[in-house]
Amino acid sequence: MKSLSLSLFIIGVIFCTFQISFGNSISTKVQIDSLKIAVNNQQSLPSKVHLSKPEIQPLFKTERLNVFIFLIIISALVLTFLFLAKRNHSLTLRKIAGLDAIDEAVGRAAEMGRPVLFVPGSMDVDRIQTLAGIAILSKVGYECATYEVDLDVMTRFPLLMSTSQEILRQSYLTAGRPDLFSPDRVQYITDNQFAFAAAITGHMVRVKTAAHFFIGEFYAESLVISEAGNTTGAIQIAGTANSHQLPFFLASCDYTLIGEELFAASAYLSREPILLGTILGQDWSKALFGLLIVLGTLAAWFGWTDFIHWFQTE
Amino acid sequence: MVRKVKPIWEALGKLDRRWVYLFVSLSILFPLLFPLNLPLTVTKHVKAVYDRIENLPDTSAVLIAFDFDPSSIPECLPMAISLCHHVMKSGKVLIVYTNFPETGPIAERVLEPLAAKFQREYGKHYVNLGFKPGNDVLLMALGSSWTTSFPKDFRGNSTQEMEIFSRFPSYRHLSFMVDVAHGATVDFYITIGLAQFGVPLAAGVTAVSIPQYEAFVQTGQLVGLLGGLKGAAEYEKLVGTKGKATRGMDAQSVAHLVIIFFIFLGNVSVVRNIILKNISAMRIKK
Amino acid sequence: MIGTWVAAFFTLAIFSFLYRDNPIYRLAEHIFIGISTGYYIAVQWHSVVKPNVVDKVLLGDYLPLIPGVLGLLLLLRLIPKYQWIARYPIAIYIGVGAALNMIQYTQGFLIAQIQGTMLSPTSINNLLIILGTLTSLTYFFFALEHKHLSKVSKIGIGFLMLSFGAAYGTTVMGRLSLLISRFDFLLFEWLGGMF
Repeated sequence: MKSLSLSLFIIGVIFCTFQISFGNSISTKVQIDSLKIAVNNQQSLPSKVHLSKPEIQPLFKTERLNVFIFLIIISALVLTFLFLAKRNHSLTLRKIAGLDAIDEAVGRAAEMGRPVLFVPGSMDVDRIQTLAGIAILSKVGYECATYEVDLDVMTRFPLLMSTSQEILRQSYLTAGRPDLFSPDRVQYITDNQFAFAAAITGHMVRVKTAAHFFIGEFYAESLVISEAGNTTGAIQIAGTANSHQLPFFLASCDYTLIGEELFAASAYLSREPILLGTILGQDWSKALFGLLIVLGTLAAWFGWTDFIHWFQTE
Repeated sequence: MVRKVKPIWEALGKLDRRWVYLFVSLSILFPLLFPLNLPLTVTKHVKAVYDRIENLPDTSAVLIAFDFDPSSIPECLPMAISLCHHVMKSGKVLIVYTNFPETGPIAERVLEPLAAKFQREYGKHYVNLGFKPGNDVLLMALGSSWTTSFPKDFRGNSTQEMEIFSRFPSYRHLSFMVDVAHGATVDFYITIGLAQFGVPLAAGVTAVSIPQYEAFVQTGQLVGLLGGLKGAAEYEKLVGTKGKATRGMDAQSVAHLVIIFFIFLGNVSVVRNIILKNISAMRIKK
Repeated sequence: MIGTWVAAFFTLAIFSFLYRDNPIYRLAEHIFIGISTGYYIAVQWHSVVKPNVVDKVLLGDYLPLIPGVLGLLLLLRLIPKYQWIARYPIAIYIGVGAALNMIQYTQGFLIAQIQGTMLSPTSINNLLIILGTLTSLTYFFFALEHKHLSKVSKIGIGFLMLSFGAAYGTTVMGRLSLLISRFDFLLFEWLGGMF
């Protein structure tokens, strides 16, 4: 599965970067099929048929060279640190404040005899933040299995529900308590954003969960669920990279993972060389971007516009 | 029996939130019932969008994407109405579609009365394509052809025979585009619509997203930005209408003042507690 | 008329939660969840599956069967013996999604924003943008302990908190707009319609 994913990813990167397309013939074929559907549904044929002329796209868009170079540099840095992390197990990340709170939260739930609630974001499993949330779910699941605390997971998409079930099954197995795992405690609620928020709010208030984890990609529902959770007195830990939702989590949660700390947390907890190497590669990419900004600032000050124009993307 | 009176600052720190709900509700009710007609100034970001549409040639096509669902109607719908009003009034071609299934009928209810008012012909001067799933993938397909992705419009008419699409066959032929969005759809219009297809873009977003998309106005990726109910009210003022957004501005202003007052009270209580705690800690040390 | 009364009932039912949890609120919540789920199932069939797969297959175009079958394979997650098969469509979904996002975000967000930060530091606004960006980036540096960069990252946190405060303020504004709209509806459409 990993190699299939990786190969599709690489193909996608190359195609999308240079907009290599075989769309011309497909475009015409699809238009003809649309007419066939109209005929099949016994609709009258249009009096005029405009088959739009397929636009000829160049094989390579050279104005995208800067994007390609950036991707090569970032990929090279990430792959380098991936390689180093696999070979050198002493590579670590700095301690992230808020991760100790996971043990504290689960411990408190165990003392109170109340369940833990985990919401891995309000987007689907194809989003990067959701994947990071699921990695932390794995850790929380392990802790809950160890302390024999019930864990409720509420999701907004069926695919995420099944992925979460898989992850938790594995966590409970690793903790040596597969008997405690119940797939029914991982629920798919609804696709609708605010219906999902209403369901979470209702669950928190009625079940009186002792600890809440809101980790993943959130939007407007973040304020609703974190504020409602705050009124129940539960300990709340949140994490999202959506900067516009962070203020609400910061105001109503006990601990918040800000932005990229979410991704670093999943690497820190799992200690997997792949995740560690990725974070370290990104860190040095950020250092490079900072250097570019400093250089660009100097260029803007002294009027070296060519340097700045190289970063033009449109 | 002597009744112990709680110090006021202690009471303020533990104020029941239902008092806040009550005062905020009253601060909204009264201005709605008794309008104050507070002055409204137009900001440069909103003016930039207005000027861009106003200065487009008459042969231009403008896309307004109704990318919001019913939960964002209060903020986004007045923006969408004003924008459609402006485009139709100024005689440009208007194309409307949405990435949300519930919004197709809403767009229809907006466009019909405006079309009647400005005598615009469906299929020639404006069209409502309705909903199609796909988000960014749909947008990439629209770069080739409208009619491929939307063989039928919202009303069930074939798009093949519409004059609009013989003049403007794909997304690339647009002169301008405004995404009225409640979520992250603006992101892929920036990355695909602008970066790949080169169509200038503005956004009308809910107030929550204003700080996020201000950065794109600063870099020039967005021509302008309509933010929240105020952005909608400003645009209503520019096009010369008085809709729900304008009506809500008085209530919004008064409610903001009430909230600032409560924030101030709460913080005074918190700061006072911190100072007292530090003083008692110093006394214990001595 | 009926629609207005139903909307008003549900508005007031949800508002009742502000006082405390009660059966009316719970009724409204469950109806909302149920209707939205049913609605989305119907929309998925009519807008996604039928026009993109069923109609085309009936016309003789069998290419859409490939994504159609991949989608059906996902349902095998419900059968424990064949759960492993569902990993393949998930792999395709994640792989293609990541590739699309990576290019779009690198071009539209990363490079454009880096260019946008290359400003001449001759005005206070520009200086604040540059300092804020660089110091905030320092806070998110995980390779080194913060003791090496503590002062710089503290300034970065300051900028972050200022921006969060601004975001909070605009969100309060947004939420008030929603409340104003509901009150507007209750006053002018519901009660106004009655009298």
